[in-house]
Amino acid sequence: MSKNISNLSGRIGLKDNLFKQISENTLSETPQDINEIAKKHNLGVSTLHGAESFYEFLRPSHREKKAFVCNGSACMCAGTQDKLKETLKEKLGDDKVGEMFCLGHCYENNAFHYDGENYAGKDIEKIDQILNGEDIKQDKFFSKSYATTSFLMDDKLLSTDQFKEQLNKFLKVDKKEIIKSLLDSNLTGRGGAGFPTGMKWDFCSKAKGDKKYVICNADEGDSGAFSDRYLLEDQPLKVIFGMVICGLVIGSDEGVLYIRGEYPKSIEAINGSINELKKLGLLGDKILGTDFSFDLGICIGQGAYICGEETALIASIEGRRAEVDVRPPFPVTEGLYKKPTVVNNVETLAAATGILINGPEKFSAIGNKKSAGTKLVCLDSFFNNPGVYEIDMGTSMKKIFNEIGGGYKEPVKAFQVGGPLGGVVPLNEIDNLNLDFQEFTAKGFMLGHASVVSIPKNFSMAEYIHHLFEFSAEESCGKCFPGRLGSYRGKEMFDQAKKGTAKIPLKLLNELLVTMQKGCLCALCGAIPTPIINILKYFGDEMKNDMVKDN
Amino acid sequence: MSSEKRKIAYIDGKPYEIGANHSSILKFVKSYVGEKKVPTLCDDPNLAPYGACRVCSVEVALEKDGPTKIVASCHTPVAENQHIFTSNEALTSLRKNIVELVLTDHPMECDSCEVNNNCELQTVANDLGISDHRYNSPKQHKGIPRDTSHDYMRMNLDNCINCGRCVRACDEIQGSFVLTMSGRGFESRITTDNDMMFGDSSCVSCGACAHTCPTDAISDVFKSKSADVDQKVRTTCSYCGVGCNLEASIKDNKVVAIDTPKETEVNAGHTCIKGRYAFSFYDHPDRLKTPLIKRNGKFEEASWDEAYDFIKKEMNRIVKDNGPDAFAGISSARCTNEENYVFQKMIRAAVGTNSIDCCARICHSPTAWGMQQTFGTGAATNSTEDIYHADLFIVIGANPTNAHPVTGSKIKQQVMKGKKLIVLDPITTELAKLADYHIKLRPGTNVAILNMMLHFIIKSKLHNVDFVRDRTEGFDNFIKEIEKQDVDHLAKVAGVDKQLVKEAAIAYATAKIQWNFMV
Repeated sequence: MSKNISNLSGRIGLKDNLFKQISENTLSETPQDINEIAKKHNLGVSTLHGAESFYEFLRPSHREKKAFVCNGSACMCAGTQDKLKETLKEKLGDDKVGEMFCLGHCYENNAFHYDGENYAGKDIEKIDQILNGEDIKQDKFFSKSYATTSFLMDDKLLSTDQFKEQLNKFLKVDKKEIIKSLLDSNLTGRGGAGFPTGMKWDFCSKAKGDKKYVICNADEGDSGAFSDRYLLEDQPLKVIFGMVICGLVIGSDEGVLYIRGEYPKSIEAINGSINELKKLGLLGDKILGTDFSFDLGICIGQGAYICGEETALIASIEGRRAEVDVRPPFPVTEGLYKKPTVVNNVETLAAATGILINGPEKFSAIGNKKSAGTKLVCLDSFFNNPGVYEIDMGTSMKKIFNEIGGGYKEPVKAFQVGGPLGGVVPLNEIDNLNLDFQEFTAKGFMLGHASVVSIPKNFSMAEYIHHLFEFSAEESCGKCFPGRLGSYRGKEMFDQAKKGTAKIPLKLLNELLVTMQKGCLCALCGAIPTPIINILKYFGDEMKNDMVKDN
Repeated sequence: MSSEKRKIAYIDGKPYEIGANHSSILKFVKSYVGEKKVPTLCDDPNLAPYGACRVCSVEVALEKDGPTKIVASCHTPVAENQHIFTSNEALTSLRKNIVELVLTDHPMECDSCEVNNNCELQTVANDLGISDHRYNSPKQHKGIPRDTSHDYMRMNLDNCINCGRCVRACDEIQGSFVLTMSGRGFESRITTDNDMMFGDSSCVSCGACAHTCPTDAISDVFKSKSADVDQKVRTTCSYCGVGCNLEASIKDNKVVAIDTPKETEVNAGHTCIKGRYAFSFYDHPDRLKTPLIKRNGKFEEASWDEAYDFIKKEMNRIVKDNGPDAFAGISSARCTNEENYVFQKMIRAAVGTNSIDCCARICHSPTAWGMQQTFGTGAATNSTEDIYHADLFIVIGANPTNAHPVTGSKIKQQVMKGKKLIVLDPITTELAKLADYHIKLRPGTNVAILNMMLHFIIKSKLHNVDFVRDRTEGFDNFIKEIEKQDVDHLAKVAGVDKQLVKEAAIAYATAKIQWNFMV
């Protein structure tokens, strides 16, 4: 955590942020000498080099490739990617095809990235057209609200006219009233940690600072989840409205959406909305003739899952290495450039908008106090009705999977719910669970984003653990010792088991999992043991021939 | 007695008072039950809490018999009534498992290692009772070529444990941003600049990285962390007036390495290239090692007793024959305060003359005289500690990051953290690059700029009227002189932008101040 780099980077500020400068320069056809950028910021060239080398997309090995096959959990379980990779290699050359982690097409798989666009499902059949640069018609995800009241999928904020009308209304509302609405609604952060949103805004509004920031965490990297993608692409005004109101409440005049580079359509949609709102004077200086100014920009992620962790995300924008920082201080008092900052997930901001429009009592009436309102749930391609759904908290998982999801296309044995760090729930446990954060945690799982990746009956669970360890080894920021070393050693254990060179040492594995769970600095390497422990508990028998108990 | 309520927290069941310096559980625990109770690898008391190694984990309950949680003590605040448990089975197992993981990527060739028996990793592993790991053929970062390209520093990344202390020291202490971690995850490693060799990098050779490195991943050519020595002598650096505390390692009556004690107030474990590495002159043949007495027109080596006898005799003779004012003493700004005090005392009290001067006659006498006229004494009005409390710095014609690097770094650190800085200098010094107001005046026009600043302050009525009324003399005349100043003319004389000087003057007048008077 370098306060110096944060402050020096803050001298230039958000609009022309150092991260943007570094990534644009590296990706440019004619990059300038990074010494010049370093000098402009009074930083060492090492600072820029350290940051640049952190991101997958900025590495030469990545930039040499042309197409990238999704290696997220859902595409892996669907078994579509080997053939896809072969096809692309035939067309582009063996060394021109790389990988990207989850492109958010979990409902149709066969996902790949080519020349700044994502393709999936049957798109590969049109590969020649794609390589020719022709626009092809692509399938969209299916979305539907099953909620008592829809807060996230309704049509109340789809046009800029509606945006203007609502903004006009809320510019006149007392800030304390807005915070009270959020508190009354019982909305908790949808990004994973579950902190009460109203409280976060309240803390930040009271924090002292000559400048404050609003950050939308749109770095949805959890495989299985495309709910943020839904909101960014289909409900962008709801997300932006949430940010503007947050800015109004906390006293901020500048915000940024940090959107992962794996989501080009989301970036396009948000960019379009921002430009339109700016043109209409609904973003920018003195909005609607009031004293309130709020400007908004976008930061494009460069391939690092850890940037979904709020302190790493802040570090990333500042041009530091996207390593997790210690807390305290929390971002509400010392966030971006050491200024008070609210970092909210996409769904949280959209939900805040929905709550303000529909009233908090309707939100709090659904579910219970700690798991209130509605939640987006993503079902993958193993369901008969894959898609993203708005569902009341407290709804039984059985209903979600069997009625809304329509049951399974082929036999499945377990589900990873809540992304790679979420629990692995065996099929027979689903009937005992409801859509409820605390209930999932109490049973040793984690609801998280409420994304669902189905694991088919014939899929090796040792292979799944290998995938999880490989993911955390690849995506760990490398700062904390148990995370950096533990995830890599775990991956090696399963590498060796896969190759048959050594059996899995169960005692050591268990110690390693506890060490990571108790010792790690953040939830990436600290929560990756959750699904692994679940698998060992429920599917240990499947791997018993690959294991030795003592070591 | 303080009216504030004493706050108590418990370490392993015993109550202790939470002090003002206890900014973390680790600091709290260490101050009461010693360094060893809670091991750590990535913590350095002179660096900000980092939370990487997790070896310092402790169990914490918010109340007696309450549910406990494992937290890293280095970055968790200590709170009233907290119950802290420093060791139990779960913690020992956690610490052992983490250190075991570290050993999976460490050469384990202690016997042939430079810092054998002076290594923090070795100590922590030994204390936990582990000397090996249980992992099957782990991939290691082995065989990274040793970087010996630097004149002073040595890098041996095979032994690096990625604690980031070197990077943080380079940033948080020296402020040079030469070292960084590069890559990500398991493949992350230390490098300099844009993957340069150490010797070709922008390193300023302060040695802060080697000093904090817990292993020999970064060390120096003098092996200062592990030199085989007869004794260590605490001394004060004589290169500049900062007065860094040093610890000289002596072997066979020769200085073989210099270390810096971590807890000293002036330099807190830091020093510069001169203090840390430029000591070979001590034994240079050209250096005077004994007093010399001129006999028959020729200098001859003498013992200290002989020299003192000679001085006493000559001093008495001169004073007797010609009076005390025939005698004068000259001392050095690079001597310690104590040495200079004793010397002036001898000249004034024993000899009886005020003819005592120092080498700063040329550079410092105008400031000293000015301060004497203004305040009654020509001494600095601030201590270096005040650097941490100032809102604004003004540096006039001085280049402290070069001339007084440790103090220069302290100022730079504060400015990087957002404190304001005014620099009056024709040269774009390291500090000037960071300045909010760099007034690039023509050489010799300091007074013009200062008069301009005074003019703007008086015009804006930013001076403290009560203070002026109660504690100054002749202020009305002063105002008359200042008001007469033609600022446009002065700006032209100095070759500066009038507006910039005005803004600097207002910033200066509206802040608490660190006054660096090195004109």
